[in-house]
Amino acid sequence: MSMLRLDDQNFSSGRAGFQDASSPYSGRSARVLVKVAVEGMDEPFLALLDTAAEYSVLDREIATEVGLASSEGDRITLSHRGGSTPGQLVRTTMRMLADEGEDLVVEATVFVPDHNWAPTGYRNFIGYIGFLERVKLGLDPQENHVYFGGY
Amino acid sequence: MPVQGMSEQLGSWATGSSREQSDRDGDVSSSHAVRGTTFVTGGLGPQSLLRSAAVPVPAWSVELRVYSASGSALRAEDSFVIDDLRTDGPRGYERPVGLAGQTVIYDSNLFLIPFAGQAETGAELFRRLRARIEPPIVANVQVGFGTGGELFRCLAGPVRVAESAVAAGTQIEPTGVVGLQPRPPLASFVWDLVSRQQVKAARELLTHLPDESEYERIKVLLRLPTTSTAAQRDRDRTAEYAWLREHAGEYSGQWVAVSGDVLLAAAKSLRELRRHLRAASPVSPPLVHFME
Repeated sequence: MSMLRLDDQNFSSGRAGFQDASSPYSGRSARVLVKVAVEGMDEPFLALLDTAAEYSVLDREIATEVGLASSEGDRITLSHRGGSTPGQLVRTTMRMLADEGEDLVVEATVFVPDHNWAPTGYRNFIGYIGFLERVKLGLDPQENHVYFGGY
Repeated sequence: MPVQGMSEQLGSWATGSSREQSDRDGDVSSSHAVRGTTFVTGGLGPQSLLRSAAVPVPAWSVELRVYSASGSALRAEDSFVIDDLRTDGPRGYERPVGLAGQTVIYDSNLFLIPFAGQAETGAELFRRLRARIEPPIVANVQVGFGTGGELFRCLAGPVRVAESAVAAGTQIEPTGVVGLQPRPPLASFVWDLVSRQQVKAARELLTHLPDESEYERIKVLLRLPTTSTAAQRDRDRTAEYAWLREHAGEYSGQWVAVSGDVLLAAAKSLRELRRHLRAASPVSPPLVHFME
């Protein structure tokens, strides 16, 4: 069922299957990859669900396709374990796509790197600030289901 | 509660709405009025600190910025701020992690470490500064202001050190002005916090910024996300996920578009991939993915 309930309140509004490993050849441990979409592009894509990531990261090529990658505007350099990456923060509309229930539309702030950047091999991250901080999440690892809802 | 009383102690320094003096080493003394309360700033500049502390700090860089007066409490924009107070000498005052930039509000012999919930860190820096300087940093501030008040509460009581230093002249000889700007680039402080992934602090600082167009963009970017539901949903992508697992090793470094268990297109770039897709006109959008 798509609706989880907590104290007689709806907790989630949608459910989707998640991919728990993008590549069996990479030798990496399984990660939770959820399907998302960004305004301006019909095709969904996968993003690593990473509650430990401060920001969400949108792949440079995707950002370019939807007109979010710009050489103008305030730039920041994002510091991370692997060093630092320049880019910019942008505000956009993303959707967490549901198999059941309804898609969750999130007006989010995401980081677009200046160059293609794939820390730990993934190019798209759903991070906490600007995105997950207003999203309720539940995981069913036996079924590979992610439940999500907004406030 | 704003800082008060310094004008009485410092005499002629504290008059009128905005003026400045500086010593030959670049220390700047200033005062300005905010809603009838005079704030005296300066009096013990970085160069004086160096002299007083006899600490070799090679990379002090100072820029003085003037903030407009508004609000009933001393806010960031009401203060003189010395930005980029670099302290990376061997015995220098370590740059505290988590401050609003390297910014120190420099207020009448007192280093006020601003805002945004970094009180503990600020208090620690203040302790270090006070411990290293002879005569000690002088202050008679009873209560802080705004969120900066947290700083003083962390110091376990009012900051009262060395009355003699006021009289002796921590009033230093004026010379050149380091730099005086009419507008505070406060947004740069916020960006600095954002870069260091201290968004909570950045958001707190944003609450101090006026509603002006120059801050509009960053306010939008740091706004909490909003959510809503869409009266639509995707379809089950189990077959696509299975395809990605089974064929991952075959398309390394390429974008793929998969619909069900069928590969619709593969390309080196997303742009090229989508060009193929437009030509193919699939019934429903495929899942696209960059293969590692």
